[in-house]
Amino acid sequence: MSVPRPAESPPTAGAPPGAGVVVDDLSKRYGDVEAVRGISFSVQAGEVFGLLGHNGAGKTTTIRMLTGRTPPSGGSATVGGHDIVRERDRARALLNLVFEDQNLYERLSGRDNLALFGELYGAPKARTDELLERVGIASAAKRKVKTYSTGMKQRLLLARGLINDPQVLFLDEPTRGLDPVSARNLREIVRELSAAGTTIVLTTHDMVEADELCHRVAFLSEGRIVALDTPRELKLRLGDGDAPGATRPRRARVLLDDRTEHVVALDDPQDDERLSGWLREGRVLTVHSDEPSLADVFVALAGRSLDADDTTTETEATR
Amino acid sequence: MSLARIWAILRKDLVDAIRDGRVLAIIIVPIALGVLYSVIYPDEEPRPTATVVVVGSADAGRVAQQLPRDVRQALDLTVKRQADERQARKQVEDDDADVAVVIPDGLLGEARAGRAPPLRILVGPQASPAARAVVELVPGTIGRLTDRAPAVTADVQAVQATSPSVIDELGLRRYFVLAAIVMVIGFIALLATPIVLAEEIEKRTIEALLLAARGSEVLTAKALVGVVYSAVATAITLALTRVPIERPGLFVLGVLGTIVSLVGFGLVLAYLFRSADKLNTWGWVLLMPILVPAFIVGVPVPDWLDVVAQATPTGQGMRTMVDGSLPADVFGGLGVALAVFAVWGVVGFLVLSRVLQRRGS
Repeated sequence: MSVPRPAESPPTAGAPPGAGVVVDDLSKRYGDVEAVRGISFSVQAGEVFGLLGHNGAGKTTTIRMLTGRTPPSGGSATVGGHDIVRERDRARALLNLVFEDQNLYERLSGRDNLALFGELYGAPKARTDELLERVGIASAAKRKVKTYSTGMKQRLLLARGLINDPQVLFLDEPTRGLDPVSARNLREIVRELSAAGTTIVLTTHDMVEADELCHRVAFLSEGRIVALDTPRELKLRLGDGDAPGATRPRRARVLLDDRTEHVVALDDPQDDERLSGWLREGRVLTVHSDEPSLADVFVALAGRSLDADDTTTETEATR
Repeated sequence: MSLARIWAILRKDLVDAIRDGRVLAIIIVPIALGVLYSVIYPDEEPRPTATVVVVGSADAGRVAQQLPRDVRQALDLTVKRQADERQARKQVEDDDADVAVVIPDGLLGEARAGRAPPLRILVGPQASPAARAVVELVPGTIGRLTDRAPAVTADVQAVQATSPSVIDELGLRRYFVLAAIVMVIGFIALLATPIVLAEEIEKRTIEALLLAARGSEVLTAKALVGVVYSAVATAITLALTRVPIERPGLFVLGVLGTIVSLVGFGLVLAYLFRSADKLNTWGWVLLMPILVPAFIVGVPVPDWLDVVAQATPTGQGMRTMVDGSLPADVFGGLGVALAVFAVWGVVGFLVLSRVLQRRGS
């Protein structure tokens, strides 16, 4: 099955001028804790931009600042061309956020949940039903949210995030806890939004998802951006043995007809010979290039995997 | 601030909160208590009794004997003798007697001589209709003893109560129903309203609200939830108990003053506890000292305790509601009540503002 890949350049057709996110030397301090340390990046209109990092790396704090919920301690940022501090109300009208927590009103119906935010944003009433239809929960619209499955709740959260037709949509771990089918559907909607010109800033622990969805990713570690590029460039940089910072040679994994697996170095003449021999003998079942994943890149840059837990999560620290 | 956004959040909260069993119980329990009090304590009838103190020596003795004969079976009259007028006045002030009739020696002689001497009658503030009837009877009684009409010139003096007995004035039924209404308001302001907000904080739905609305709009809507629920619960309690409210304007002022002065602190509790379940468990403990003043209003208590009660919104709320439920003030001091409401209200919202600033919300 082929997996759709993001275009190297984000689509900009249909995106209003000035859309996107510009972050300049943004920082946030909580007492003695420096949660974000002078990060800078920009996100083009229609781009899907990934913010990746450990718990406590500064992702949630960055999103809190960009969505106007926490004032920065230093630096500046604009969303949709509006400063997040000086023009907070204007900026907030142009953005929305799909929260990591499924923070819905469980005793209300799906439609009532959505209608409330439609009213708060001044959205047309028809938008509620339109979005329920779009995310595929129209048939359950009258049911109380507490009867929804995790996947249905996540779809409702996405619908709520789209209720004001935002120019910039922040997605905080949007597929966490979803089954593979629901996750794939949600990613499909994200691609459609991007294609329609919505700027998307995504935080996730799922490196495969980031690789699949994001035009560019930034790795955050201890409040700093340690790498920022397209997923492909980041992987190539690590996989290229000649590149500065490269940590591994180019390799391939070969599965033979006797079910034994062998790793061959692609730039080793002896391994070349072995591989050619297996091919001639017709013994090769599969060959996989052993290029680094985004997770490998992250470990190489941050010194530990994303699965490594912290004693205090960033979310807890900032609540 | 956008009224449309406040209205949208308020509507959501009114529907959502009432579906929460905890909030529903908090509202229903004090209403049920009010109804229970109403059933337990029957409607008070005008007291068919009166206690009269006759002050003086020889002439007073004759009046004290004649008075019950004149009253006959019309009411249950208790006549006491007292030699000292000051003691008699204190009995009236303390509501131990309804009326004191001062008969100086020689009064009957002067009356017989047709001089119509002045007769001082002291009437207590809680005097029942029966006691007031006695006041009308006394000159006639002296007339019969002296064969003169009119025998005396009555000088009726109202005595101020040292400690007004509200229960006597209102009757137990109305007193406890009003106290239950203060409980309703206290429960809603300091338990139900904070539970609504604490649940938003706990489940982080408030984060979504704050993305779409200003913090001041969200908090205004939450405070209005308390106001609306209190108003509705008060109306329901009054409807179920059929307690008469003689001056509705003053009564409503007492209800609104109490809720507005407490709801700010209720919202503070939400931010301090940040958990609806914790609030539901421990909020009752905090609530007790806030509600006690309502139950000691008008009850004989040490002066310092009365001052403390009067400094609280529930104490002033009860006083204003008592006055509003009667044709005339028992307590008065509406200005002080409004000042107490205002101070507590302002302090509550200032503390809330400070808590929010410290938390960076």
